[in-house]
Amino acid sequence: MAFPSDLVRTKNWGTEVLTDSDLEGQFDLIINWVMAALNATTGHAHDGTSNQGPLLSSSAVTTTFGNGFTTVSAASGDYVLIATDVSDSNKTKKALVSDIVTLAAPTAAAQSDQETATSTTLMVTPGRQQFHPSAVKAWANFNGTGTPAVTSSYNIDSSITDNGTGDWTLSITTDFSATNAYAITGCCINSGASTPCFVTIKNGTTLAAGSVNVQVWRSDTAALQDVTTICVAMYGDQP
Amino acid sequence: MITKTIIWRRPDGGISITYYDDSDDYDQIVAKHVSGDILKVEDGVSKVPHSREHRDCWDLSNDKVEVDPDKLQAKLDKISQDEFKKQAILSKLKLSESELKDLING
Repeated sequence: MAFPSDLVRTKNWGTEVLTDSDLEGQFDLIINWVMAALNATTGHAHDGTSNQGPLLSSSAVTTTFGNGFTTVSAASGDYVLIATDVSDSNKTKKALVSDIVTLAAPTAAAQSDQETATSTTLMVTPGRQQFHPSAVKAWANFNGTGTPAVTSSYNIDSSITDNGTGDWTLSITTDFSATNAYAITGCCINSGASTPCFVTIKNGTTLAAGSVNVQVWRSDTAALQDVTTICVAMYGDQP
Repeated sequence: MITKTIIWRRPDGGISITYYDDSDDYDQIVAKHVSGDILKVEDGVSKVPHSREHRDCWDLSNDKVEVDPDKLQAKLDKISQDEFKKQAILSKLKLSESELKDLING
């Protein structure tokens, strides 16, 4: 910022008498100029030009991410100032850019990485987490009374087949890699009844890659039974 | 959301009913659910007998799913025959059904 012209005063020291008001006026102007130069938003620019202070860094770019990281782009010979918080007594620290350790950009795990399941450095992303062998590939909670219906699910179609009492077929949206190449767990609840039930896969069938035939039985008479809540979860390999 | 119904006959003679949404791929639904002869495809949820007591006797008759009287009679005959055999065995053992249950249960 330019030095104001009204602060440049010529005094005729031979004839003119300097009064108090002259001094106060000059001091006020000087203080106003200094305060303006120190203003938090409109003060000097530190760009290395006249009255703007020395150049601090003309190329630094700061980006703050939602995950708590802040990145600073600066030339290798520059210093980066790090403002700390009250936990560190608000001490500001500096680091030479060339001394800062380079972090490799995080790499997302591919489907094959998930399936190999050995990496401890790759990032798991939501769209591929299910490819890990331990992950559930499909699950469903469905009502087997009246007109059967899928209540909630993942990777299970809303379509459902009523094959008879206690006997339903569910279909899988993204099929498994092969027939009989996956595992299923299941449980059931017969709301309002005292006799427990159990879930099986229909005898004599195979685990088709894209569908599964589920049956529910009474635990006392081993008769097929319609129940209010059947839950199944499936694990295995998907293409 | 179920908007369509496929009624089809399994190889064992029973009737299966597949409910699906008409936004689903029909060919894929058939490939994954149907393993028999398709008898009827209809809009909406097909009307079926309210009671599922004789679900194993359902069949498509008069263009709707209902209890097939022939299947029901065959089922009742089978139950009668089984009961007759059971009573004959109990008679030979000179035991009532409850006495036999007590013996089995110790």
